[in-house]
Amino acid sequence: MAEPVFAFVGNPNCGKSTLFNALTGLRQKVGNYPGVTVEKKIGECFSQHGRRMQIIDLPGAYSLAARSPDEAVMRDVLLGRRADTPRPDRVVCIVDATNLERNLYLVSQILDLGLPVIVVLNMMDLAVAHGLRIDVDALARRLGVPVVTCQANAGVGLTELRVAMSRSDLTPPAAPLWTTPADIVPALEALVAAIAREERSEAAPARAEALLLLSDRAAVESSGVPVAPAVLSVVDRWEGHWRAADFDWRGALVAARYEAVGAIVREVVDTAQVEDGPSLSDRVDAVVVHPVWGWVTLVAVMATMFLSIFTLAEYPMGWIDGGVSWLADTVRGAMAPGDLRELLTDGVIAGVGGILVFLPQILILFFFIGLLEQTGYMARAAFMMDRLMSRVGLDGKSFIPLLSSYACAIPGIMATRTIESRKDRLVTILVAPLMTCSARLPVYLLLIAAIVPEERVPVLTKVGLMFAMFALGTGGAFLFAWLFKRTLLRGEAPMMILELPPYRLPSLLSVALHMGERAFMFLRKAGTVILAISIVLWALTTFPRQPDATAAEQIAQSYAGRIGHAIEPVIRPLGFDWQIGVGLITSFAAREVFVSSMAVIFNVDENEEDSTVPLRQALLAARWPDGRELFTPLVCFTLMVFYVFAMQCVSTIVVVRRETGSWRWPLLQIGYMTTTAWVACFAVRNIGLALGFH
Amino acid sequence: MDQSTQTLLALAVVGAALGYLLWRWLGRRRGSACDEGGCGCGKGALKKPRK
Repeated sequence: MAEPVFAFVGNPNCGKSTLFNALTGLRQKVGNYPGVTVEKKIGECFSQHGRRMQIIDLPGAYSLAARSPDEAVMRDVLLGRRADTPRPDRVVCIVDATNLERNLYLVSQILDLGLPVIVVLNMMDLAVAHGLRIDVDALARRLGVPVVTCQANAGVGLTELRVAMSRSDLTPPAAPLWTTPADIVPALEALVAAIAREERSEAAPARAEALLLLSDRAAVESSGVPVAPAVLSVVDRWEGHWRAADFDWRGALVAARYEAVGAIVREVVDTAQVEDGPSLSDRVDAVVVHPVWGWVTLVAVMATMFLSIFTLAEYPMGWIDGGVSWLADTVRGAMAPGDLRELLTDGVIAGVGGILVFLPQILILFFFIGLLEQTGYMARAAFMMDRLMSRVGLDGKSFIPLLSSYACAIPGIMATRTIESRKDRLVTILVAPLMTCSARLPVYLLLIAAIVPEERVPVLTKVGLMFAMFALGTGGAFLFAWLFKRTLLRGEAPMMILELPPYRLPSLLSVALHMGERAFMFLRKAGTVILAISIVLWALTTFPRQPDATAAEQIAQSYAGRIGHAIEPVIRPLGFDWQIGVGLITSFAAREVFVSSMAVIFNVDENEEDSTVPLRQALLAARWPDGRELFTPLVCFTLMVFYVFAMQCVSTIVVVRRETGSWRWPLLQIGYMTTTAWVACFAVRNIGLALGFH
Repeated sequence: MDQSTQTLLALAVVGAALGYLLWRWLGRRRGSACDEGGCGCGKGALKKPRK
């Protein structure tokens, strides 16, 4: 017998992915805000009898009549319209127990599909805390399907769900949950007959598809699977008839469903113990989404995050730095002079070690991001930012993609699938790489350390500089969104309807797992791409060999030196020399490669037997040929501004190409971002010089 | 280890690094940049959304 295929469906942020992870042992990203899952994810688990079961975790949606690409995934999989995914045999409908009425609307549509359904009442702990009493047996009777209670984040109710999923006697509900309005019944019957005839569909899916065609025809047509012309002609005929009669058939369908759902909720939910007055979440929200205190909170949260990055990471950074220097010195002492020794010390250890030093800070950043996501504060930050975003014409749904881009632009760009309008989606994709991704963090930290090297400088100066870079990136993203919305991609900004999830205690295990995952990704990148680029860069700085040349002359006449000198005229007006130019070119692969490139280039000492010095000190010792300091505070600041705006990430370019289906958009993105970076750096340099900096 | 052996070995390592970067670039064009690019978002293969 074939493995049963279960689809996990539900409203956004009802805990589908948490439940999916708990059952399958996978680590799909979860967060306490809507829109985390934008693609289906397939996993496996075992029934109580040891039978293998397949689970498809689908993006959340409020209804099957959805238009954004992520919501369409759910509808198309359930209707068997995706060639790459089997139509599920059974559906597990996850419901937020604290908001039963809204969630049961989707359940009513799922029940129409004619598949066996299990309803999971998730977040029962929160429902109880709110004073809601739900009669689970009565709900199961009214829906005609098994209902299981659950608290997915604590693993409560998983066994009961597994038992329910293992049942072989699961059947579709015997009777429809709601009554089709009498005026629509003849049209529905004609349409079901046409679909059954033309598409050889069974009665229940045919009825579900007929209802979808009647309630939102454009959504069904947008799925890419053609609807038979004979079926469409039936829809056309009835729509024309209703328009002539001034009958709002779509409104009647929605109202009929809500009427049935409302009756069930009144019957099974006892709200007698719900306290009047604002809840704890409401009281906290009165501050954190307040027009003034909300911003104060946001700035305080960001400042705490940056302060922790600078202060808590100090000791582990020192240990890693010491370890890297010890390793380089040991290798240098153990091997005879030669190219391989140089490659190991100046290429491999300097390049990879230079970037590994920043691992503690990356971990602290993701600890905070995980904490803020899980508590539900991120959705509040979205609410605050929406006030700004709507002013520049950005779709409210752009916030989650932009927020994700603070970690990495790639998931941010993929998260734009939640945006219905193609133009708004393109605008968000174009500006997402301006948000300060974690790859910029090592670059900023290195340059900030070079700007304010003295220990007596208060740490708040460093926090202020870091904050300025984040603000500049975010401000730049908003500015360009505003420009694109008024030129290339004109259009009205739709309203955002954002559900503020209840505050939840974060699961430290989940945050730790997320941090571990990010640490693994960071180390993998350091051990693969960054290692390979460091090795190649070492070769470019070492060959061709110049007999009797000093180390500085050797690198200046190497292949890397020649490439750097070729581009120097372009970057000289920004205060950058050819060595920085080489870093700018190599970091096109990934921004953090700039750090390892600097480590390789500036690790070439006049005296080969010198012990390794920290990269920060090597940068401070770097000079122009005439003896002037190279990394002055102004040059470091200008370089940071360059990395705020420049499109230095080949992976992002590839993803933009894939998501937009054309090279036009990534090329436009590279063009506008690089030009902006140059112009901004030129302006910063000249203003700085005029103010007396050098 | 004499200097010539060191140079030969160093060049072999550089060749391997170049080969890896090339293989990675070609692989990325065929597969999912999100998975192979190491961005860590945990999402699967990208597909152009259907119109």
